[in-house]
Amino acid sequence: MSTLSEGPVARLLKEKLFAAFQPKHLEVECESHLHNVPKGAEKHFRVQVVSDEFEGKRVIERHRLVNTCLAKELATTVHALRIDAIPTSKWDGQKQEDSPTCRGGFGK
Amino acid sequence: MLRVLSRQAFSMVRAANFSASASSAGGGGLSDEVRKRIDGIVKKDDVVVFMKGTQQEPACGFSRNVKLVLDFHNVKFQDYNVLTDQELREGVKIFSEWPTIPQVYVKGEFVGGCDILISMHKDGEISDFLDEKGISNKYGKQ
Repeated sequence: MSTLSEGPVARLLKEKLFAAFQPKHLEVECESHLHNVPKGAEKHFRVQVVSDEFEGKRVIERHRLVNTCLAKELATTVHALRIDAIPTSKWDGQKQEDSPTCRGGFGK
Repeated sequence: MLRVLSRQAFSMVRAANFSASASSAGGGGLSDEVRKRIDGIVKKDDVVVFMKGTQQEPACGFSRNVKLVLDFHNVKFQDYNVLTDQELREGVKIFSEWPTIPQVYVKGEFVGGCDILISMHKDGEISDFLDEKGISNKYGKQ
């Protein structure tokens, strides 16, 4: 999978997630090109975070931790966020599945 | 203008900030009227989905995926199209403290969005969960 130049929003998300979770593995990818939104828009993201912080937590709790970390961006610029929050003990290098193509581009 | 937080805050502080920013925003707070409306909606039917579009015609891939998982498990659900109701669209995010659409509720309890539903489906735990909630489903114990 080719990596496009990282935009400012992706960089910010990555910095925040890194600071909050000290992840063993972190991927932040903009997926706005899959959606019906203007070219170069940074509104749809997929994140994969592997961290000890997620040990012993249910999936909804892990997602809430990520949502809380990125609450400001989710309330403003980020329209959709796909989260893979994995405890380190369950990490085996699995790839996150592709996001669906979203035919609607209905604002936020 | 985006500002990078250089200081690491405690998660509880962030959680508090999240709640505070939600409630302190001008029109962002959830009025009692809207809270009661949403509470009534999620308790009226066993399975409720706030989605973009309808279950017959989803307008967003994530909402469509939620429908596909529920349909796959033969789970009937009541849909609410947030694209035609801005009050619901913003209200449910505060109600559930969950920032994105779609959102799934079972027996009045918020279960999660698209990611979590797919995760439960793939992990095989969705049938146990539905059985536990008394919801009829294809692979359930009946």
